[in-house]
Amino acid sequence: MKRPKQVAERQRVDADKSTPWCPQAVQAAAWATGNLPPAEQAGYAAHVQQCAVCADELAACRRMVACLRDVPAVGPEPSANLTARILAALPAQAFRPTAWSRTIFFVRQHRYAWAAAAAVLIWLAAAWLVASVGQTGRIAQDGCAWIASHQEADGSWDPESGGGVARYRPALTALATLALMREPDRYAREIAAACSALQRAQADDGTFGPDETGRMYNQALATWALLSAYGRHPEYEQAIDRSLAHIRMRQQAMGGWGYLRDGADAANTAVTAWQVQVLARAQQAGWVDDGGHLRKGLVWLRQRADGRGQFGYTAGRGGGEGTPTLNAMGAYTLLAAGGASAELVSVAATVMDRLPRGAQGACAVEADFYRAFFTVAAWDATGDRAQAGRVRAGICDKRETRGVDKGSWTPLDSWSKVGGRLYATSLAVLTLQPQAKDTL
Amino acid sequence: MEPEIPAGTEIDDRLLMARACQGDRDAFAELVRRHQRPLLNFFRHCGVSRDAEDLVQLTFVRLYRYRDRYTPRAKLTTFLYLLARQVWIDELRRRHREERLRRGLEAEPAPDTGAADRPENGRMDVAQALAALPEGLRLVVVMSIYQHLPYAEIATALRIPVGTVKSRMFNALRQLRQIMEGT
Repeated sequence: MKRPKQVAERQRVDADKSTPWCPQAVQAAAWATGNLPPAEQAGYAAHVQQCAVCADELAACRRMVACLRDVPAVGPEPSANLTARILAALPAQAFRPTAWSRTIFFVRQHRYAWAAAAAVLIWLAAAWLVASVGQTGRIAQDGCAWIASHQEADGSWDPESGGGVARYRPALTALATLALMREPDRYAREIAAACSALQRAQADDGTFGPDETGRMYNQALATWALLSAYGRHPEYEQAIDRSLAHIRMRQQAMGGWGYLRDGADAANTAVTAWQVQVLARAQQAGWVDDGGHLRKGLVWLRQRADGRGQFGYTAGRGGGEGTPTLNAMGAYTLLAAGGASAELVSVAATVMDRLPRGAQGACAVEADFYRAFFTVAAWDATGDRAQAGRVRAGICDKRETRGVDKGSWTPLDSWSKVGGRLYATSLAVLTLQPQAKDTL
Repeated sequence: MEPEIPAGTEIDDRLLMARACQGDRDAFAELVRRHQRPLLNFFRHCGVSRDAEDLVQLTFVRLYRYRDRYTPRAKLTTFLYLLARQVWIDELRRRHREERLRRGLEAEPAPDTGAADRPENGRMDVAQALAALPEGLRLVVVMSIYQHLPYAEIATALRIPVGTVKSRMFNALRQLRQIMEGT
C-alpha cells in the first residue's frame, strides 16, 4: 500500500501530463543523475529505444543536469579560521571524555563481540542456575527422605530421638510436615498421617501440647501445618477453627502475644510474629478476622521497629536492640502478613537495608537455621534472589553427606538443643524451598 | 588497541568519528576540515548567502552534541546531512518568524527582493530557478547534484523513501525547465 505522500507525488506527476505520458519517465531523472541501478539500466535503455516520451524526457533531464552542474561554486572559499571557530564553539567540556562515553563507544565499536560474549554468559548463567537449582532440589529431596524415614508409626515425630525436647512434639511434627509438603504427592501418605496426629494431639480447647512456655510455638506451627494441608484436607476445618480461637484468645490487650496464658509475661516479637503469620494465612484461606486480631498484631509488631530499622524484643525494652534473627523475622512478617500496606512495607524495607549483605552476611546467616530461614524468606519477599541464593548455597554445604544421618543437618545453633536434628533438617529443607514464604 | 592514524593518509570518516568520540580533538578537527566546504556549498545552494558559515558551525556543534547517536555502520556524510537539513529547517523557521515580525511592525510590506524574483523578461538562470523551487524539491537537487549523495543517502538524510527521492528529482528537473523557459 502506497503512503499518502507517495500518492501525492504520483498525482503531481500525472497532473503535469499535458503531453503524451509514460509511467517509466521518472526513471529518466534517475539515469541522468547516475542513480539508476545497474540492473535496471539495460532494461530502461531498451525501453527508451521504443518510447518517444522517455527518449525526450531523458534528453531533457540530461540537459538540465548538465546545466545545473555547470553552475560555478557559489560564494567564496571558507574563511581561513572557520575550523578554529567551529572548534571554539563546542561546549567547554568537549573532548574531555568521561568513563561513560568511553564505555559507550567501546561497546558500540565491538557490539558483535559483546553480543556474542553476552550470549555465552547468559547460556553459562542459565546452565549454572539449572545445575544449582537441580542440586539444591536434590539436596532438599534427601532431607525430605531423611525426615520421612524418622516418622513415628502414629504419624508424629519424636523430638528426643534427634536431641530435642519432648514438649515441642506438636511444633516439630508440624515443621517436619511443612518440609514434606515440598513434595506433596510423594509424601501424601506421610503428610496425612502427620496432620491426623496433630488433630489427635489437639485438646478440646484447641490447644496443642502442654501449657508451658513453648505453648504458643506449638500452637502457631501446628495451626500453620493444618492450614497448609487444608486445601487437600478440608476435614481439618474444625481443628483449625478451635486453634485460631485459642490464638485470638491469647492475644494481649495491646495486640501482642507472650509465652504465658495469664499474660504475666510481656508480649514479645518472636511469639507475636508466629501468631501474626498464622492469622494472615488463615485470612488468606478464607477465615474472617472479625475481631481485628491480625490488624492489632501487625500494629503491635510495627511499633517494635525503630526508625533505624531495628526490632525490639518487647514493648518495654523498645527498639534498638534487634538481633539479625529478630530483624529478619519482623521484616518478613510485615511483608508477608501486612498485605499491601505502604507503611508496613516501608518499615520492612528500612529493616532490610540493615541486614548483612554479600558473602560475609550470608556466612553469618548460614550458621543459624532459624535465622537463615527468616532471612531467606525476607530476601525472597523483596525479590533479592541473589542474596537468598548465597544463603541457600551455604545451607547446602552444611548437610551430612555420609553415615546414618546422611541427608540431614547437624543441629548446631542455639535452638538445636530444643529441636534437635529434626528441627535443623526441617528448617534447612524449608529454607532451600524456593519462595519459602509460599510454603511456610 | 586502537589503530594509530598515519599522518597524511586518507582515514575513513567512521574511524575519525570513533576517535573523536573517544576524546580525540584532532580527529574531530580533521572531520571539520574535510566536510566544511561541502557543507558550506550545501547551505549556499539552499539559498543562504551571508550566514552560511554560521550554519556550518551549527551543524558541527550538533555533530558533536549528537555523536552518541551516530552508528559506524552508516556513512558519516548521511548523518552529517541529516543534521544539516535540521539546521536548515530551523533556520527557515527563524527566518519565517522574523519575516512575520517584520511584516507586522511595518505599515507596508517591504518589496520582495529575493533571489527567486522573476526577471522582467520572464526567464531565469539556473541558480535563480533553483532558488524558486519548493524546498522539498530543492533539497533533493542540491544533495544529488552538488553534494553528490546517492538517492539512498538522500532518503536517509531527508527521512523519506527512496522512491520519493526519485519522483522528487524528476519533478524538480521538470519544474526547473518550466521556470527557466518562463512557462
